[in-house]
Amino acid sequence: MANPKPEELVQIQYPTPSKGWMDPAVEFRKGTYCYSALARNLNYLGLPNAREWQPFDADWKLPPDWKRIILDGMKERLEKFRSFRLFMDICVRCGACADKCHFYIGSGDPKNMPVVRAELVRSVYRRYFTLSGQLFGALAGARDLTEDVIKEWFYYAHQCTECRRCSVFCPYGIDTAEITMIVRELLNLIGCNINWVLEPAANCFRTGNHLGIQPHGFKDSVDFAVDELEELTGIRVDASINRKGAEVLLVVPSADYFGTPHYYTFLGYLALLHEVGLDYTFSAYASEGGNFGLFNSHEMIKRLNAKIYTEAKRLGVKWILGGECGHMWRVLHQYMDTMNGPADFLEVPVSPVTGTRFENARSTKMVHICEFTADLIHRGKIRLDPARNDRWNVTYHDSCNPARAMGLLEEPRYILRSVCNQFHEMPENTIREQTFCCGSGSGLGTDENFEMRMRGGLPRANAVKYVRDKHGVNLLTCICAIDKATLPPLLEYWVPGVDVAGIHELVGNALVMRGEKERTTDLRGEPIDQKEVAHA
Amino acid sequence: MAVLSRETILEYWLERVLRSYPGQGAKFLAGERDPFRNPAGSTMRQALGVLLDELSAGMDRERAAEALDSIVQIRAVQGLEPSQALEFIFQLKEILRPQLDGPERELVEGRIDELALLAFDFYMKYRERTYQARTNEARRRIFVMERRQGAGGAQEWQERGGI
Ligand code: SF4
Ligand code: SF4
Repeated sequence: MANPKPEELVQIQYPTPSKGWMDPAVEFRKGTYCYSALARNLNYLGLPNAREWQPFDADWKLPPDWKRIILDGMKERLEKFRSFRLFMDICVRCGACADKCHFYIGSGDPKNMPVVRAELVRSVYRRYFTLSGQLFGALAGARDLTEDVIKEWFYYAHQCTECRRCSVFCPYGIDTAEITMIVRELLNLIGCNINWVLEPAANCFRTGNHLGIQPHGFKDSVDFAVDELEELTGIRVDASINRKGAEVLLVVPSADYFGTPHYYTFLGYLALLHEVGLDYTFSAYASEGGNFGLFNSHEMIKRLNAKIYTEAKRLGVKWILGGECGHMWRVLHQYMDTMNGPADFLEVPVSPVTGTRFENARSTKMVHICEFTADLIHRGKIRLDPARNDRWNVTYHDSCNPARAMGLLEEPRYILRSVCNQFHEMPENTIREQTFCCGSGSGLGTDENFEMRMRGGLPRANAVKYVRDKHGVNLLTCICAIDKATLPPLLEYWVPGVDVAGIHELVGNALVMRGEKERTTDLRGEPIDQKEVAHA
Repeated sequence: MAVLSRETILEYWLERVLRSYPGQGAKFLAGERDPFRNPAGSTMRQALGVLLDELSAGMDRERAAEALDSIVQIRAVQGLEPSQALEFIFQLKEILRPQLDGPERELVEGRIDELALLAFDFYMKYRERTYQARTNEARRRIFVMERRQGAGGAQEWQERGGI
């Protein structure tokens, strides 16, 4: 090897791609895509082109006129959503968003740069909907719509978790997540969808929740939690279901009463709401706050969301309280009112405990439980013993949707500082608006997609590792049901020794309840005084 | 007869390693130094540096193993065949060969082989960790049902097509 000159050293040439981004061919490698939706789920939801197929098949069995369907679908959406047309037209390719996506950061695949992800669609838009594209084709950055392009869209629209981190950095406010949403919606028109999204959607449509749990199963789960809470605290709480005339309807993601660590957060809600004497009820029909319609189509969001107001009306409540969930809140905050409102049969939420009027929820009539709890703490309405959480050294992951879609940044931190003694933030460029996604949102948290999730979650895990090593952090808290399901395996892989919990689990631990027995264990049944140290 | 500086060798090595990443990806991974904006690239840069130092100096096995571990952890989930994932160790041989001779070359190459064997262990450790994490994830999803109904519940749940 010849000795290079110093100036050559700094210019080591990284190979240019063997093919440009305009070449749509993708390889469906194991571990990096999600399985197709089962025909029965498409049929159940009345979606087109139900069939047996998988992304790795050569023949995707598209309908004969698939091209017309897609182009008509694009045309319709360009007219319907001004934002979509704007996003197609105004990108100046400045590159500010390019290195902000966790999938790009973790995988190095250029098509995971948000700007290129959007360009995959924009090129087709140019070709069929702009004059320059029609005249100059590839010279004007236009591409023909081919089956390979459809496969490429499918591949990359399911490597975007719709987290909106990139949009924070775009000077024009282009939201690539919304472009992804439209692409998935278009793919849906020709039956190219994934099971992890459509199965929960179909279940939700049938029984009211993602898991397909029927009303009696839902009741069993809630009763079970009430029993367990009594064993832990000595207090029997009343968690009613479908009780007409309650003041408040409580809607939570179904994972809260089925999965772990969600379940401990559920126990936390039950303890807290009992302690402050809130007159609330669950609904068996609206037994799911989550809405996988968000990852499928606008139409599906509306269909699945409708049950919340319907139930609020049927039960005659005054307002609605919502549990810890990410995309659920994106829908509630940004779509529910427009799609299924106005909820003029409800009242502007007022906390009966503090008298606080939640003006921010004046229109939707729905309050986030972190807002409710932060208000209780702020007004000194609950007694807390943060020492009960002393075995935890805590950090907080801003779940994408509560942080970026609804600006819920301070309340969770305020609560955490009140319920535990050790709290450390992750580095600034990885939290709040700039938070890194768990890498598994928007329906991508499947088993078969595991490797891609580990790559996409690396930036998040890496920041957790930093606080583990620096401050001995051993608990990552968050307020999203998908996070609670997908961060544990992420940390198990990248940062062993760090556990995951919801905020209301810690609230439930610290909460001193009137008439409680001596609390020797936390909500997990672990001894309270035992201090745990992260094994690095 | 080392002619290239440590920094030069490191850049070459990094370049070879990142060649497996497409296009501009490699440039970003090599260029962006902020460890939070670029965890994969900065971990590799840092760890390759440690390996290089240890190979050419005293060879503190613990330090070398730790660095190797952190690279393999990343490579094990990047959709690479095992041979590709671990290729980076052997690439150093090619880079160093013209730089060394005689017993020095033998010593370093011997150490590289030693690291390569260790890398297999790490690779397997991380692959196994993915399986373990996947199993645990599946069980966490049905935690309440398992607790309520005993182990049989999980089985029934899956048969019903629940997720
Ligand atoms: S930051 Fe905005 S304008 Fe710039 S390339 Fe990205 S999407 Fe386009
Ligand atoms: S929305 Fe998130 S996942 Fe999608 S391109 Fe932007 S940063 Fe990447």
